[in-house]
Amino acid sequence: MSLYLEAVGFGVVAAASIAIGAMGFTLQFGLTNVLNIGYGSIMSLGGLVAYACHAAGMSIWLGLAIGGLSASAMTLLVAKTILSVFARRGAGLFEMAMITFGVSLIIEYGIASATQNNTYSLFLAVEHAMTLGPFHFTKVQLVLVGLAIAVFVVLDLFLRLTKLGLALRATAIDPDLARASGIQTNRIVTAAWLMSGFLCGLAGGVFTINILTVNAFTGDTLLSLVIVSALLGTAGSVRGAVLAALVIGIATQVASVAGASGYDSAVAYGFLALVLLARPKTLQGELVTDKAQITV
Amino acid sequence: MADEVSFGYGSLTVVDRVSIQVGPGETVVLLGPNGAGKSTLVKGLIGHLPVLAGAVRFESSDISKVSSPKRVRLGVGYVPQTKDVFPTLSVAENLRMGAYAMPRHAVRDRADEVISLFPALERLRRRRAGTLSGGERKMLAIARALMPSPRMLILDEPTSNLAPKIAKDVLEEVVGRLASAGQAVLMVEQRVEMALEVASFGYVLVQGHVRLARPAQALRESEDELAELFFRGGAPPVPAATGQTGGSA
Repeated sequence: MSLYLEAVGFGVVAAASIAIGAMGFTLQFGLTNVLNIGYGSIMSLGGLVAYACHAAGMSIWLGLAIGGLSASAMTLLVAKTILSVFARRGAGLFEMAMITFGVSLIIEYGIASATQNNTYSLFLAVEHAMTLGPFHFTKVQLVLVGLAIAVFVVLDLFLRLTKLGLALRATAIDPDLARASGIQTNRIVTAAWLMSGFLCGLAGGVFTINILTVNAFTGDTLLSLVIVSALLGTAGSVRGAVLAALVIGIATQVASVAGASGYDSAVAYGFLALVLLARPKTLQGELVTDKAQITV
Repeated sequence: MADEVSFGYGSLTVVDRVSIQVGPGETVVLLGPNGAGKSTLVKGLIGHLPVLAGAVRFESSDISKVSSPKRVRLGVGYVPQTKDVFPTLSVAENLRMGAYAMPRHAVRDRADEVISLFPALERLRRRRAGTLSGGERKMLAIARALMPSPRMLILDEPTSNLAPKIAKDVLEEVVGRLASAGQAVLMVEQRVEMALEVASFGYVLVQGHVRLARPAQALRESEDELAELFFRGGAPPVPAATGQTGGSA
């Protein structure tokens, strides 16, 4: 029983990176209507940059921020160059997903080539685990969980209280009405690419700190969990994504203890399938627009 | 507003060389059977469709190539026929989005001013727009469009999907109040009699052309002609020069 309880604790830590990634994914998908399969490759980039910064002598937390900024810049670059070209030619949801898959391969194999396909180990100071009730956490793990909570609170308040946050929601709900209200939606969509890219890179960095290794394909491990959480949490809902990430994080860790180690994605997709069977409208959320907003 | 203007989709011209004028403080109604091109004309006037020929003018400036958000900033407000509010945002948030181009400090005062025009919205400020009744929702849609103090307001079928009694209230009380307040309004409407009661001038659009352009009173007295136009397509188009004159918007 204690093993299962400990797995719940590990699940909460695992949920930190899933939740940050899912918040970014849901924001990006809701605003742009692009199902970005390349999201995993950008998470790898965020993790690698965080690692590289730490290896160069910087604080890992500063590296995390730089990883997020790098991912944000790469996301905007991809959106403004490659995706916008296909968007102007009228590519639909499926075509755009395939294009982002191609982009992810270019980024991942580009990184693999540049890093000679190495897997890097992150060495952080050894710490003793702290006991919180039945759970054991290191200080770094608690910081990661705290970071995910802070990101959630800031993003939630931002979307509810600020002018830009409301404009993001309005644009996602109805881009035509947003334009007719004087909102320059192209700028709003650009902001969404930048913010979601930052969260994507941050998620990759948090994941790297949690598992202490990173390579060109690390983000792919996290991608399926992120997508399932975003969809499960009612696509487009930041709160839903975070809650779903918590459920998925715990479910995958508990499943590992039960003997399904290495089957994280299968557990996550199985969970999604069950929820969809029970509640088919799960995928409809506020930030999901019925119109492509890919005119970046 | 519309100067010999044509709009369409791709190579298909739906509205062909139409001229329409709306003067300050006037309520002008655009009538016509289904498929006449009214919604296409409105989409073009607000910048959702490119101009194929002619020009869209606002206060003597050519705004044909100005984007939809910039037209709002210039003073052209728009209330769509459907999807006219942000349903998951509150009433207050909808008003705030209507005032997106305004400086932050001015928004609260302006919201109070607009709500004073629609007192029913006062107690609903925190309510999600998607939970409002049809009439309340339309009031909010118009209030949202009024937030940046437009000098010209375009209403696309404001009584669409409303029960007859509520439709009458919206036209007589809401639109009527706008007219009394000196707001220039261009309104597309299917409820011909009700619309002509509140309008000062009317155009009848058939198959993408203006077939009649007369004061509302004169149109009210032309029942047979209107019926002919609505059911059979009627006479040839009115030349652009015979449209209403003297308007400035």
